[in-house]
Amino acid sequence: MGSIEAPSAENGSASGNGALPPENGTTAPETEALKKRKASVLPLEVNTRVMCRWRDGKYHPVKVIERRKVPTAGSSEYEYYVHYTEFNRRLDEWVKLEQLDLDSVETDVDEKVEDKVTSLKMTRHQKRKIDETHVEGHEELDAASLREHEEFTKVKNISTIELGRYEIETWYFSPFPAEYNDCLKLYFCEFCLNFMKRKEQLQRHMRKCDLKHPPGDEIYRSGTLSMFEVDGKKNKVYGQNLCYLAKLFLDHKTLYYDVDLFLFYVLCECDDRGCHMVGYFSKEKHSEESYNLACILTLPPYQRKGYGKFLIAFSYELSKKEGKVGTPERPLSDLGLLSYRGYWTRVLLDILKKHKGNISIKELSDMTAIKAEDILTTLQTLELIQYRKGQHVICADPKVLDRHLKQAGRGGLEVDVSKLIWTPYKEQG
Amino acid sequence: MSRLSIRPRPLDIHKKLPIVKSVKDFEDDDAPTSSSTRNSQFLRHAAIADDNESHHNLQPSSKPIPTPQFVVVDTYERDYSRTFSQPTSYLRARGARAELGEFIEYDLDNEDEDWLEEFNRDRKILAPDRFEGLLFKLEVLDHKARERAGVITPTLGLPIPVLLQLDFAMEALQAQAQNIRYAVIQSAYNYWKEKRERWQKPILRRLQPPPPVNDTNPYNVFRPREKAHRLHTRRMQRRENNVQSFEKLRQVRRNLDQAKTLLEALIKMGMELMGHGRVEMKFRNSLVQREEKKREVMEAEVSLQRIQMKYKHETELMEDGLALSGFPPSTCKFGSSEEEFVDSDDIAIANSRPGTRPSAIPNQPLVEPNLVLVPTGHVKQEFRRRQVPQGWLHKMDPLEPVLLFTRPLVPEKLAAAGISLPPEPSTKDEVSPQPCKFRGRIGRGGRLIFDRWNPLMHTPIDYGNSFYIPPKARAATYN
Repeated sequence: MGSIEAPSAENGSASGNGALPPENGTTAPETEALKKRKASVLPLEVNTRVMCRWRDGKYHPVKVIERRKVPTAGSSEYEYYVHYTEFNRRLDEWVKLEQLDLDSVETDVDEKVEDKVTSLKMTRHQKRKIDETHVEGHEELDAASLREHEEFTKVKNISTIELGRYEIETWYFSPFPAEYNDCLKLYFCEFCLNFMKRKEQLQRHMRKCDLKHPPGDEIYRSGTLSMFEVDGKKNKVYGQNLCYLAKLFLDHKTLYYDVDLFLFYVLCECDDRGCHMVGYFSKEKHSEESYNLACILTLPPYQRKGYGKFLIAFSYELSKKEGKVGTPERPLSDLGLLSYRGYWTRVLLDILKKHKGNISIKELSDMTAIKAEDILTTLQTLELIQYRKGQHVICADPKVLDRHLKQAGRGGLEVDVSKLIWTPYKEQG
Repeated sequence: MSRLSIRPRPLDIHKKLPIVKSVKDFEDDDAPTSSSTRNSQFLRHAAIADDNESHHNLQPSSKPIPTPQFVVVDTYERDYSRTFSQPTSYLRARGARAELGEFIEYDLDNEDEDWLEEFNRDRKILAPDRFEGLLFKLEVLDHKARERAGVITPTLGLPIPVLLQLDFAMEALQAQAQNIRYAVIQSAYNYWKEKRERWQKPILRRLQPPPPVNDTNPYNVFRPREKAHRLHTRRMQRRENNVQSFEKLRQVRRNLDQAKTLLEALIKMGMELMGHGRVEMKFRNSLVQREEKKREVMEAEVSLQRIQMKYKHETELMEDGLALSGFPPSTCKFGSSEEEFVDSDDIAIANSRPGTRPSAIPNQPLVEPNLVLVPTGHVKQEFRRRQVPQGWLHKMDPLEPVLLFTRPLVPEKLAAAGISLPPEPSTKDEVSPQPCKFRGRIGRGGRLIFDRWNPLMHTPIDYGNSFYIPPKARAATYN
């Protein structure tokens, strides 16, 4: 992976509370015992487990993924890239030594000891299954490809980006070109998504950039919200920039193949500075597996505002216009799965509440463009399909439906189909 | 949950399902809930987990999924001007930047800036945006030069050479950028050329070729997707022209060669031994025993049929022989391969079924283990169709149970096949020669059957208890 350069920025200000162990210089000098202890464990080895102070001021268990020398110190001091074992990998970060509680160091947790704890009355197969499924958000990968994936992407290369109004902490590794290996922060042009290493470069770029919106056709506009369709073949560099950017926030996105077989649907909030991307989804021009969505992302500053649900709903509206059923490409991330479950639940239960008479799964699928399998798993997960007196029935007690609907959350922003002006790709000629 | 054992039919997505509006409709029903019994528990767990998740979502205070953070950039309002006004109609895409040709796509990077700073140290000679323009034009000119020379590489493999010559660049650039002095352009050209040769690829990203299709380095991205025709079934996808498939086929070939050798030996012995049309069954069974994995057998299917063809004429000869001896020739038929393959599991099942299992098996392997024949359902059916040989119900001994479908041994035939009768089991100590009188018969499928003998008690093993199989004997039989 080449050299890993230390970040120039100082660490985020974690406001500790009084009950925490002493920070550097704030209290009495270290005791002899502590010094000795430090000398014996430092520098920490990769795979060490230790408690680490997180941004909430509390200590959480972490595993050391990687370490590097702090260049400014000039000494043998290290900083550590840690994975918070309670959280998703997106929260992995470089931490300073003083954030770690050295009294809690467990070097090299013996795998066998762990085995003993978990293997009670379990076959190896069961245990392996548990090992696999314990990794949050990776349920659909097998252990081997997961390990390979994690080795390849174990340390975030870019830690923050500037994109328009926001400076955003990144979530995952993204395979930027080798020329960008030596920097931790990238400056993205908000409109054409070109990325640069220095702020002055971005500012010079902004003076010449000729874009104020994604370089595609606007296919939807409702209030300040606009959706643009960008053809990856016609706007290759934009498509690639978007992928580099999106990968910073998507764990299981692949940039392996070129963008020309994809269409990008970029959702924007528009004002007098231009159309600001809030999120996007990509879609294969021709999907053999009837995928109607490949990747979906709401940028972190715009999350929890209903944009993700809008994007999902939009993808199904496109499928309806195409007269096809669709399903998202797998695997879904933890956040993605949650959004999709919510969407399916809302759409299906709304229909079931109003519908009179019998209905088949196929009919539901035709009405919603949701794939039959997704309908089945949704209804079965909610235990709404039951087997009674020799036949399947759909249980649609209004109270039960309302309870599920409440749990599924609100629908977010509505897609107003009358404002969608769009021809499916095939017909564009 | 009283009827957990009943598995409901799989749900037909085309079938209209009644919608039950009230839970009360269920309450009189004693057999409760849940769609699929097997999965229901799993699903319920999933549902519970789900509930929890959505619950958290409803009350963000309890525990939202934590995500990294963001802040507002303070220079934003200066950097981005308020110059956008949305037209009333939907915006349409213009041509891409590359097609328009006016936009300077290149942005200076760190080393460009550093070089320029050095270059401008004494006095300001070249503005950054002009330098940017020069580098961009050099890149485009070089690309055009390579296009003309026909050396545009479709994918990134070997270093991409610089073709643009200084004099040519100078001519083109001076025409476009009049008020830049020759020396400045020359410096910029030299800087660009050095950088370009160091990078070994265009410095403008649009002009960099993608990595080759077969490059597996995950750090290299945006390779062209191979337009390979997708095979439609999993099975077809598995059979690719790669090393593993080659190895697999070689393994199959080795197995087939072994099987062939075995078959040839078996044919020789079998023809002499039985003179029946059932030899073919033996081939199959022993072949199955040779093969360790059923899947490999499946894949060997095609080649096997070829072998079967090869032996078919021999079998036809045997059928002729059978017809002479009064058996209907239809008894021996080559079925269509696949479903007649019996693997060892099937055999074990067939044998544990009372009624099909022989009531007695030899306590010592009579001949080499591979030759022990095992009945299959197929044989059973054949036997039903077959005319019953004369005297089949004849009891050789009053103590002997009625064994249907068996025939007495013909010692002459055995001798002709080179099989000698087993020694009396109790030859070592002649304590009770009487009950251990040799009793053999030809069972179904042409097996030779001998009564079992308990070597410790020196008694025949009770017929009534015939479902008991000593483990050793069993192992010897089926290995």
